[in-house]
Amino acid sequence: MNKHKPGCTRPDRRDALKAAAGAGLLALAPEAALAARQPEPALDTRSASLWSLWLDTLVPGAAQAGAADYLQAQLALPRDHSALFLRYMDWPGDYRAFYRDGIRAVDVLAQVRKGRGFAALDAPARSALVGEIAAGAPAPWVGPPAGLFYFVCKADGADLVFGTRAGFKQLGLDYRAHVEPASAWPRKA
Amino acid sequence: MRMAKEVDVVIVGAGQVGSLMAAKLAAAGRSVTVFEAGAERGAQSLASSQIWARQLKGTPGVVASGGADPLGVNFNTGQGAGGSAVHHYACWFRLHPEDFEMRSRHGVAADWPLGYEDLRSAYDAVQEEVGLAGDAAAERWRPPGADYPLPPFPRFRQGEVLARGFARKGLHVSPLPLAIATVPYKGRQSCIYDGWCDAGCPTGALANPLVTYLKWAKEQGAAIAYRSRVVRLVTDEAGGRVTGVIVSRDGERYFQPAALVIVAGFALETPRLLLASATERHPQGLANGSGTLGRYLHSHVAGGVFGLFNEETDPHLGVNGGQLLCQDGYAKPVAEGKDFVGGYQWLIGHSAKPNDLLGIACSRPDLHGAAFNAFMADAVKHFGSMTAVGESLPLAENRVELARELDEHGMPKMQVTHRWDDNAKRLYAHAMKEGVDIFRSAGAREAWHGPMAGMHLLGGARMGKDAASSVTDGYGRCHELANLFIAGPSLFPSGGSVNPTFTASALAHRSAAHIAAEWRRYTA
Ligand SMILES: Cc1cc2nc3c(=O)[nH]c(=O)nc-3n(C[C@H](O)[C@H](O)[C@H](O)COP(=O)(O)OP(=O)(O)OC[C@H]3O[C@@H](n4cnc5c(N)ncnc54)[C@H](O)[C@@H]3O)c2cc1C
Ligand code: SF4
Repeated sequence: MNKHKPGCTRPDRRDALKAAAGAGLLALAPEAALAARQPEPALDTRSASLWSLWLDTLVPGAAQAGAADYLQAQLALPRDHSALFLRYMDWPGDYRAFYRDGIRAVDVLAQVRKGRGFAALDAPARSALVGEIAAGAPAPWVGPPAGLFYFVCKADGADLVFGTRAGFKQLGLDYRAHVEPASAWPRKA
Repeated sequence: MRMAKEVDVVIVGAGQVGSLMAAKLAAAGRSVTVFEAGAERGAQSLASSQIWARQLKGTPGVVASGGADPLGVNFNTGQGAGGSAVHHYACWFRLHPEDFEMRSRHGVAADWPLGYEDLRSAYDAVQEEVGLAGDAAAERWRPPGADYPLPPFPRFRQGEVLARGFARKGLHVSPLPLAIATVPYKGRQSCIYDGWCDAGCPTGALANPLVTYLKWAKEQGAAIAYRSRVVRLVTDEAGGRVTGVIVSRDGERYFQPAALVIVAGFALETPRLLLASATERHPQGLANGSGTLGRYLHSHVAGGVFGLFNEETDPHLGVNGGQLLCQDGYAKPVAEGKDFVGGYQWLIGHSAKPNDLLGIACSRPDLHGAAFNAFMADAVKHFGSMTAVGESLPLAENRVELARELDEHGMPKMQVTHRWDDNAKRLYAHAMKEGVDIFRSAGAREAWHGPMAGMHLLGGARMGKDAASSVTDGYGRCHELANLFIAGPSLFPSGGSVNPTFTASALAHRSAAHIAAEWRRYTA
């Protein structure tokens, strides 16, 4: 039997730590284009583009499928209108903080392990880092539980790459909507 | 505080059982008002997308779901017209006679205050009303009852492949009984087997409340008030009767008087409302003289088994609930090779979407990057899945309590605590081993299983014969309050190994008939 990590288990919230304010982050170049599209982004553009890169490492194609827009759009919605997978995890804290702190923790870990931020790593190094985070106990890690952050983000990536009409098409599946969704994901009216 | 015009019956919650009771009591000539915390929604709001479907979920009033093995609250609940039942999968089973007698037969859990024969005619009536599809003869484990009104589901390739594995292990399968139309039924269309049930079936094929009891309740004249949260039950001075409810809507609170109140808020919200309605006469919460209110919360212990086959399995075809059933493992006692009390069943051959918690992607949390994408491309053609639904013994420590924090209506939020006992862990381990063996026997080139998970929310306001150890009697009437009833899975003293909604509906059906017949007794 394959022994898979029980990623669907519930997070251990007692271990959920708030990211320390001012944790070291490698400055990423600001992305004017993204900022222009999102006048009041829920996440700053640096975090959003880093998240996009992280998601693309988890599920290749996620960045192109709109990872940054997806997250910004969901974080801008009231909690009970969000379509984030995180809802299923009964995460008691703020959704923005979950993503912001998780991304920051990934970047800090990259710094500590490789001396460079996540964005500056090559593909094998990123993948190795993902493996360590998925295993659930990387150190240092100051953010939501690492295994949970990995699991949720990977599910987000699967939503983006495989869960939309375009994703179905890519897999060779007929979408067969009863009621066509107004757009690939909800956003603030 | 403003006072509304008195009605005969107030029902809290427009989900499966609240809608059923509203339809029945309105049909019996009672004036009925249903208060639903969530929004009104119709079929057109049920977009076919696992991403959009998450908007159907969730109980906002939970501070934290904790304990050693926290229950999944948001995933297992829903809010708005039709409640959680709008996005449920419609696998509908009867409890077995021995499920009602776990204490007297096996020395565990608690007996129900009624037996299978007390519920049998209500099961028969409900299945006729909503339309159940199945093959009663092929279900060799099925308790006695009327035949299904609808023909069974067809088998798709995944079902054929997995049935082969069961047969090779000497196990039996039958078509899965589903509250889904296989042929047009009472003006509803038949299923087209595209697996969007989790996003809410908008065609009417799946017998959710929008096309059954909620629709019928409205037709019978019941009033449904949406975005109206009941924040408190009000009692008379003596504390022996409820006089009505306090409703919070659009920032205003008002009093709705009623001759009789039914709380149908599902397993967490029902105890929450009673706990939040404490008075001097009921200092631990209404109907909580026994101290059991909020306790014995339980869930079915569940685990998914997955595999990849060389042949194509068409895993996108069918319904989310599955194609086939096996209850060969339902027997309760500990036996050779079975180190746990209680049984389990297999729901076999789910139609799986690529993404989401129960989709193909989450079956392999370990894979990422190119390996994950390659898995997905393979799995959409060759995947198979099934789920063990097992019995877990209700523990007093597993409970819903009020938290200090208030919600936007000024109502205390909930804290939920849960852990599995060792019996449940042994059951899970046993079932997962069996499931992987079955997949291998079916010819899977790879087979694995998922983590131990909770499925369905049960208990929290259990029924019983003894007022010292339960909240209500066998009709759901609170022992301490003459005209306060509870409906729904929160009443279950134990949950057997089957999905609960058929039983919760049969109980509500029986209770509604009883209330209608005994109206004077409860309201005089
Ligand atoms: C994904 C999923 C799949 C499922 N599949 C199956 C299946 O295949 N078979 C099966 O048997 N069961 C299944 N279930 C379980 C099934 O949905 C529930 O057992 C059933 O809906 C319970 O009915 P209910 O009326 O008690 O609660 P609900 O249907 O949840 O309705 C309760 C309603 O009460 C409202 N409410 C609560 N408190 C208040 C208040 N204070 N004021 C006003 N309104 C309030 C809520 O907003 C809600 O709308 C599934 C559940 C889920 C989530
Ligand atoms: S598969 Fe059948 S029951 Fe499910 S959503 Fe489609 S038509 Fe409805």
